[in-house]
Amino acid sequence: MSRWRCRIGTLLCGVWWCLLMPPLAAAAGTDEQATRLAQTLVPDYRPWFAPLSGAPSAELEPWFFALQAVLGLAAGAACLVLLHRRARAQRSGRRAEGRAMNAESLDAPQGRG
Amino acid sequence: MHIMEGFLPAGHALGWSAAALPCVALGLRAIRRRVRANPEFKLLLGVAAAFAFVLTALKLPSVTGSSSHPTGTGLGAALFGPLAMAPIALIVLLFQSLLLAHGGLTTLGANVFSLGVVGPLVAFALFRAGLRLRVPQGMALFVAIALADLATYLTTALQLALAFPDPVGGVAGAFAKFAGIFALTQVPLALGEGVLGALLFTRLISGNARELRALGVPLAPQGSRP
Repeated sequence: MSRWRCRIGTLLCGVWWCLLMPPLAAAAGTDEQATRLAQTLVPDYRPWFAPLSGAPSAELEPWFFALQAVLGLAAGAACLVLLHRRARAQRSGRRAEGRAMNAESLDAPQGRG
Repeated sequence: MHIMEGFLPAGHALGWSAAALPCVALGLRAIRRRVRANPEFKLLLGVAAAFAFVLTALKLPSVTGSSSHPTGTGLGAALFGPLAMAPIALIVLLFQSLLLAHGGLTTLGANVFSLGVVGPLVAFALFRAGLRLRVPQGMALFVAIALADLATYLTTALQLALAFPDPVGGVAGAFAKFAGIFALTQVPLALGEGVLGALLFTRLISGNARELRALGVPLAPQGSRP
């Protein structure tokens, strides 16, 4: 994929994000809707186990999700940077090796002929 | 795709846990083997795990007026095989169930099965099929990730339908209702996840294709369209 295609893809992602986000910020989650539907289908069902930690308040919940996203982003960025550095080091190592071999073949005496 | 705590009957919860546990064990073994063979593999797996961690934290509104989140396991599964993603899904879901009360410990098996087993299997199969059919690998990855996302949610719909059958339509009727909730909301999010995954993949392979091949990542043959 060319660099331009990559940029267009990033732009499309941004447009998609902008279109989805603002008007529907207060949307109900599908998980909660599915839970409500389950209760409608089997009204006498009672959950037999409660969350150990208790659900965070509505104000705190987005911060916990943000914490998860930040942790993921930090770990992903660190891995990407390390990968990039190692790949560059390997490439420069190969290039140096190639140059050394070229120099060796030029220095070798032309014995034949 | 998080089934809430206590929202599966005990028998179902145990059954799904029994189905997910061997996949997690096999996944751990596969990761350990690949890391032993090539320690660099850890970094690539770290990128895939971080992708899943970030995407499952993004609760996004969608066109139907409800919100949901991408799954993030398709990218890792397409690149490293489906087994590697089961332990990663377990870590993500444990974090969310303990810290956010999102999902739960009793429903962990069912949630791992949909997020870490079915979705990754679909992504892996579709990406391999795309490469075999000589589809450009960015496009193959986009399709694989998007459909893996949808497959994850359809599995959750099936799990809930089996536990809460419709009094009139039975399991099939309940599945249609649960799938109706998830599928419509999820389609735009799945497409977005597909684009994002394909972009990250492009970033990963740019200049590193040789190294990635050496790590056993399946890539299109050299000279074909990316």
